[in-house]
Amino acid sequence: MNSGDPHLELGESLPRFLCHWLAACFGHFLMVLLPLITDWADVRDATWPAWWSLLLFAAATSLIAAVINANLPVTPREMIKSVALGFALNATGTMLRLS
Amino acid sequence: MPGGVFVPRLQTASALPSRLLHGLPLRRECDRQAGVPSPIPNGLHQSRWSKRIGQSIELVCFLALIAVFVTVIYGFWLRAIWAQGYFLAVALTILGAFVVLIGLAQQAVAARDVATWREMAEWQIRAARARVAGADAEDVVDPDSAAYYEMLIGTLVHHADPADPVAGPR
Repeated sequence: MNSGDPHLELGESLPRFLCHWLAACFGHFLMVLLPLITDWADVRDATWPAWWSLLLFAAATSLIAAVINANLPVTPREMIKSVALGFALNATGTMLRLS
Repeated sequence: MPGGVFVPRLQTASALPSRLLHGLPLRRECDRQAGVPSPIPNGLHQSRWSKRIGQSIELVCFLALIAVFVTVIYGFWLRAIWAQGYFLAVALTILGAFVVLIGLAQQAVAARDVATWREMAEWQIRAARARVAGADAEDVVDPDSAAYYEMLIGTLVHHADPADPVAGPR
């Protein structure tokens, strides 16, 4: 017999998928924007991709993170893992010079 | 019911406020009087850490999540100062942050409702199991047999029937 809180059980659902997808997008943006915040003076003249291509790239890579994390509950503790995965996926893309 | 076993019927249970169901001391007392066994711990939902530590980790993670949101919106804002098109990105990120926060709240509220109903249903099943065990003390039915589940369903239906005068107190 299961006596647990359904909020904390594993299982894929669309709200979970969407929430983790958005969290992974934020992780992706964090990787893009942190250099801008820390080295504002040097980066401001750098060439930047168009805003829509940045958003589309983030949405596409975050789909991988969302598929992997779609069975995690929507709690701050699990969302942070999605943010970290989105960050890591973008770092991988940057190192492989995909973007 | 012989032995004065108190089992709330479905109609009575549905009228109970969730505050009452979540009041653990009262529920334990009811269970003790009714001879209903406690839920079997299956090890899936138990953490070795105390609840307080879990709550503080959740709080720290929530603050970190907010910090990520604010940093991303601020970074897009810095970029938007130089490239006009990025104001749309700022708007979309603010919208996304709101969606995530609303999603967090909505999932918590929906899960609390589900947990209340599920707990009531599980309580009924445990009570029916206790009744089946009490009714057949001399000839023990194998709990894995079809006959056992037939009796279990019979007991559940019997005590859900409002026209039945012996089902228990209202």
